[in-house]
Amino acid sequence: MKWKNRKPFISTDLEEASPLRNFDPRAKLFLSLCASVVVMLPLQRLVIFLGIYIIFMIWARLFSRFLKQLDKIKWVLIFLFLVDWLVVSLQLAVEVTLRLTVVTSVFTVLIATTTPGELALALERLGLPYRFAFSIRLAFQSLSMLEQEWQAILEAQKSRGVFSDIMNIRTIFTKVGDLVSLTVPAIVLATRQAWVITESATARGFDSPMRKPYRQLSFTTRDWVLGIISAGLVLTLIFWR
Amino acid sequence: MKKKYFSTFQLIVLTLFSALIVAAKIALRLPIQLPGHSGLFWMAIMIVATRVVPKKGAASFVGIVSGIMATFMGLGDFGSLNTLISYSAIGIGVDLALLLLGNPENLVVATLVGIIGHFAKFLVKWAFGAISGAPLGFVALGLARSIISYLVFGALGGLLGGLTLLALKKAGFFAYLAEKK
Amino acid sequence: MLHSENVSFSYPQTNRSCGLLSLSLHQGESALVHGPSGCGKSTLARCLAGLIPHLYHGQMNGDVWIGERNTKEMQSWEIAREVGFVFQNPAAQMVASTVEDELLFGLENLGLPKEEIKTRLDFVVDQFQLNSFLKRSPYTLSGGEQQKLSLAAIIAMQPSVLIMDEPLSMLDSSSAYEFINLLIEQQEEGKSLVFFEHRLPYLQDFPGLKRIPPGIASNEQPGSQIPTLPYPEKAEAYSIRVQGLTVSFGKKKILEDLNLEFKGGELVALVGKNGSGKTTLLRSLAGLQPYEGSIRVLGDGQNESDLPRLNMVFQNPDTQLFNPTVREEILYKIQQPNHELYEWLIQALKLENYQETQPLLLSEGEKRRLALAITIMHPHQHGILLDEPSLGQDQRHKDLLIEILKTISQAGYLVFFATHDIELAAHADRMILISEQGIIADGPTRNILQNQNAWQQAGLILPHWIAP
Repeated sequence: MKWKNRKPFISTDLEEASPLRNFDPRAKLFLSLCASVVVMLPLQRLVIFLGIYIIFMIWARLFSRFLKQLDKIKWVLIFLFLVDWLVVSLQLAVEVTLRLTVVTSVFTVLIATTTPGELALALERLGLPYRFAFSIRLAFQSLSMLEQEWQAILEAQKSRGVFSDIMNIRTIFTKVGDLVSLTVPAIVLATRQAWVITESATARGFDSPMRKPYRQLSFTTRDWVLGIISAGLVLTLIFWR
Repeated sequence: MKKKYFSTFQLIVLTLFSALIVAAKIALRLPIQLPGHSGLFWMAIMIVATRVVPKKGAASFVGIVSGIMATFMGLGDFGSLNTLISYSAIGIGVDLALLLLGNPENLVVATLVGIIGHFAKFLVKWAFGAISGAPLGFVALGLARSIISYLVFGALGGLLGGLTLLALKKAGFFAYLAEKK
Repeated sequence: MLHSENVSFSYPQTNRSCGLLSLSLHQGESALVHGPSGCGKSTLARCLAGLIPHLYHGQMNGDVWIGERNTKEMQSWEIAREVGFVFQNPAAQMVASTVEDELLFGLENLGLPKEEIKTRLDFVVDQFQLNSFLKRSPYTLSGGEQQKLSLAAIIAMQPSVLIMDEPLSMLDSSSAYEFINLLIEQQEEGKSLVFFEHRLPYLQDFPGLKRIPPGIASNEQPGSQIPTLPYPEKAEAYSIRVQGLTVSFGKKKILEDLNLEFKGGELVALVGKNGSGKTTLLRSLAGLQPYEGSIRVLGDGQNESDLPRLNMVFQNPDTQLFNPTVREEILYKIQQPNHELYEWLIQALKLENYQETQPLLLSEGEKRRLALAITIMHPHQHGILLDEPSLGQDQRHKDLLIEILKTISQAGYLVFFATHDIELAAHADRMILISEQGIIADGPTRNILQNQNAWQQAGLILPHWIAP
């Protein structure tokens, strides 16, 4: 029996060479939020922003990542551009395309240069309770183990004769019960794993009110500069007459 | 000491369910000829999460954490912000639907919850289209194919969630769970 | 330092209960609580460590004191300052994404100043020789390294008592000895240790160990009655030839150019350290793993190109169980069940009284036997493969397991199991020693057990109570 064994596009690699890699994640988060406000601006100002943004991405060595992101939605962009142009106007077509371009790439700066652990630490410093920051870290850390568990469950059930036929839209409603042979073990294994981690964390003082973090983030001059420039640019574009 | 809203176990189990959703999207390849079928597990796990941790906000928590993960993994086509908000919207949609409809162990309720949850994701895509300034009719046209798949996958995912809950109950899972604080 | 009096616990839903445990330990003293699987050792360990009653619903009788304080009146994070807990499964207990963060987790929770955390971190990294691992994910370490890390993370918190729930069960012999030596050092430094363990021979030379059996017997069905009924089906004569078997993960070759031959009716043990390729070899034979080379069946009525039909018993039984009852679980997706085989299985595997029980409520040992029943029930023309079948099993269950495997092999089927448990492997007819370099030795078990050089090459210590 053959079926497609294709993995989705995953872009988890950190852009280690980017000069933004060592900036404080809070500064990069602020930059991304500023950029996401710009999407509401009229066409002329949007074009100015996008020009500056592209130069910034080239400097930050993130331009290829930016292009990869656009490549994923190129057909949607082309479709909307053509429909808007043919039915309404060229100006609207350009405006919609640029806005979608900005909106899909605003967080690239943060995601491509920050590890999940660094983001969790930044969110914690911004006031997120420790246990939720712990949760974000734990989720990432558990991912590879849970991937292996899905595979192990699938193998174990296939060896019992489940999924011996290919399902399609006609048969899936009658065979949805077979999928329970995957979901039940997956839920059970994840719950058991959660329990072991709960015991392990509790036995090492999790939820202690005395907790003091060892690692610190330092918001340096360059982070302030990045933050001020981002805010200045967005405010100028919004209020400039 | 002030009691936390989610106990340590509830927090960790919801976290692992969030990771389980993303792991399914990345790892699980089934002999099913339907694009995006891993979405079925997404909805099913979210529905199960609301019974394993029977507190308001459980699905929203799973939605947000899996959304942050999916954002970092580069999943989704419309960029990080869209991915984060879409995943979160499903969680919030499921929580709201359950508030209105009740127990998802009823298969009809589970199916409806699945549809509503998935429809929340569709609304996010619609909203992104609207923000970009595109006429809503065209956005809808562009997403017409998606609407059907959203409804089908939402319904199937919800149904799978309900069936999973019933199977877990019969297999003794909730008796095991009842020993844990 | 640690004192408990008539401690027992009963679970609310299943009415399982355990106890009674009374012990008193002073600084630098150690105790071993032993007993068969299912007698509640793990539950009692949790009572001593304060996880019960803080994390579990149920009825705890008796009291545990740490110094002058009763654990029922302490917060769980206060108990964590005094008592460290080492769990059975080293990989599952990790909470952080790097070794360094794993060590920092407990230290941060203690609320220590940064300088003190740094001092303690440096100390344990040095003492446990973790320097080269610091930035690695705990999941990339071997089982022995993971258990060492879990101990280091606890020692950094400087508790006065260490409680350990079967800490050796997932370790190979050399890792088990290394772990025990680290614990002897801790005892010499004044820590009190409590082992809950059934691999007793490893602890027989532990200095000053008090032996304490818990107060009630096992709830599980004993494995003392070995099945005498023959396996209801006979296999045709055949052999399986493996030629040039190579398996790569990316650029890394896990198995390289392996050549082996098995005969129907053999009981074969595959022994090696973690990461030596044991599971990969089994998966290749089961057809679950892409490989280079060939695996073919030779024998009467076989074509040259025939692949073997070998069913595999997976390491974790929870990957399979989802049906409402044991009976339905065993018979799931079997079109025309062989009722004679079913009856034999439930008797041989001591599952007669559990046929209508919910599988998820079985004990670990029972679930492993159920997973074996599921595998055997499916048509397996040439035999079965088992991956670490004795994990977490006491001696009685191992005896039962080995008798069942012998019975199946005597019916003409190949039974091939991978294990780090040399006591179990010693019962096989034939033993294959494997390491990252490939097959070190292959032959009758007695000969392999006498080949000290081979054990050294495989990086394993042959325990003196097994050596012939």
